[in-house]
Amino acid sequence: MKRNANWSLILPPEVRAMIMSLPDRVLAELEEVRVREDRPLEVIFGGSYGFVTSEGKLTDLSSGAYKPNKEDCHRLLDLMTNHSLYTMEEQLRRGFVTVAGGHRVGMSGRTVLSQGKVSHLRDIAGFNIRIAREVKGVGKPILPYLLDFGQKGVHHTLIVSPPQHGKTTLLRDLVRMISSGEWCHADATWKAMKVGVVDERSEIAGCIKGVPSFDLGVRSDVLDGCPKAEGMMMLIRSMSPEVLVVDEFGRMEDVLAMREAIHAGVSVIATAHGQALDELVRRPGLSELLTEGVFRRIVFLQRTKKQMTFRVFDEKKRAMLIDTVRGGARV
Amino acid sequence: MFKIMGAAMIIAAATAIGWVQSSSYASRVRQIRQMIHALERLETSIMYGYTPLDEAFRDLSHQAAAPLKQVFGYASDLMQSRAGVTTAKDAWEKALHVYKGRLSMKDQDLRILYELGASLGVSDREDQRNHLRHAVKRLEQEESAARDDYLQFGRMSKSLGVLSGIMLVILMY
Repeated sequence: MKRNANWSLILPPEVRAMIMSLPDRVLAELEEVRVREDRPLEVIFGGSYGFVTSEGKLTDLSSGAYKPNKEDCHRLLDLMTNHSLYTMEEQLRRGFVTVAGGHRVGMSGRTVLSQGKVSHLRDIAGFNIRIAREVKGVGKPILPYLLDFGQKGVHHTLIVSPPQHGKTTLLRDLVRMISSGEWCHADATWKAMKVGVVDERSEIAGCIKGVPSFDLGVRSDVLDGCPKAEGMMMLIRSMSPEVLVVDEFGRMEDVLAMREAIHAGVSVIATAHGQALDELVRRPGLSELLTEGVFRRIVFLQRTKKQMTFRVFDEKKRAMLIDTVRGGARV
Repeated sequence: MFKIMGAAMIIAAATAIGWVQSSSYASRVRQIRQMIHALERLETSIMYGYTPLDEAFRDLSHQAAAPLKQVFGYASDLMQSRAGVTTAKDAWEKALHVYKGRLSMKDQDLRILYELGASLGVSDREDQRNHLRHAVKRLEQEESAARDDYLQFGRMSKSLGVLSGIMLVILMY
């Protein structure tokens, strides 16, 4: 937990003291802290939830829990924006802010519209602090299946799972290994590759002022907060990547950008929300790429409380690996 | 002999008091002007630089002259250290409070600054600009009042110092 305790610096001191005096097993598995004005302070850990009393004890009853007041919310907002809300206008429009350490704070409140589009968020009364964990080594069993021995590189890969099942964690670890040349395979003797990351939601790298908070290896470049399709083109032009990495792939313009990347000889590793292969095929943008067999490898992730399941398919949808790792809940 | 020396000392002291009085009028004008410049620079760094408040204050402290230098520097320290203060408003108020003694500003000038503190950093850029411009406008009014005061009372207190010293000496003789 020590490594991750920095996220708590954004909490007002009183609330922070309450959270920090929770039992260690809760802190070790803490996933989210939810602050809602005048409603009970909630923590989500290890797949379950509980409320926090003003003495820092865990309770199942909402009635005994501490209720953050307006002042608490105001201070939280001030601390997490580094006293400068105006520097976060773009993030407010998107509804979340990335803070030091790659943790994300989602916000809800009243939206201000301008010409029918959300231009701003005000009267912010709900916060969801999502604690990011860096799990090094999660990609180790998978990477050998993604290697392209002919081209001495990696295949075009699509990583698929429902939300909160560890897609981004896996993606981050793959970036780290590829850009530092840890191929996890005895026959893979080529050197590390240049990896370009388009991090639209500041989730993969958790950049603060352009510098990644997470370990993304040595030969990686991150374009932070950039729309995917545009970012892929920008990186191809400017940073000459050998591998392009994007999160939440699937819109039509992403597909066009991906075709461009393929022409440029760049491998693409992307993630998408989904449960099963036949469900993916129905998604407009992705179906084209899948039926054409553009993605040479498709990885499915499934996380339950006890374990993490990986399934890897090749472009003809033949299963290559089905593997289970215990203790997946921490991922 | 002693009498003459004593008289000279009285006149010198009274003159010095008059000078100090007068220079406090002058430095009020100067400090308000410097504060207006500082807030205008702050507006630029917020509007065009997207600079976070602690960094913007740090820059201001490098550019400004004492005692504003210390006010901005201390507020920036407080924001960065997060010791005991949790909002930009807290940091700003604490810095003003600590250095109030060194500022020649009057209560009405300080009130404008305290009120500005309540909106520092808590809204979007457009709103920040409005608040800063409003504060600048009000400070400009105070500045012209301060300048009038200086012209009226600043010179007067200088001559008043000398004259009252002389009067005291005459009365004693």
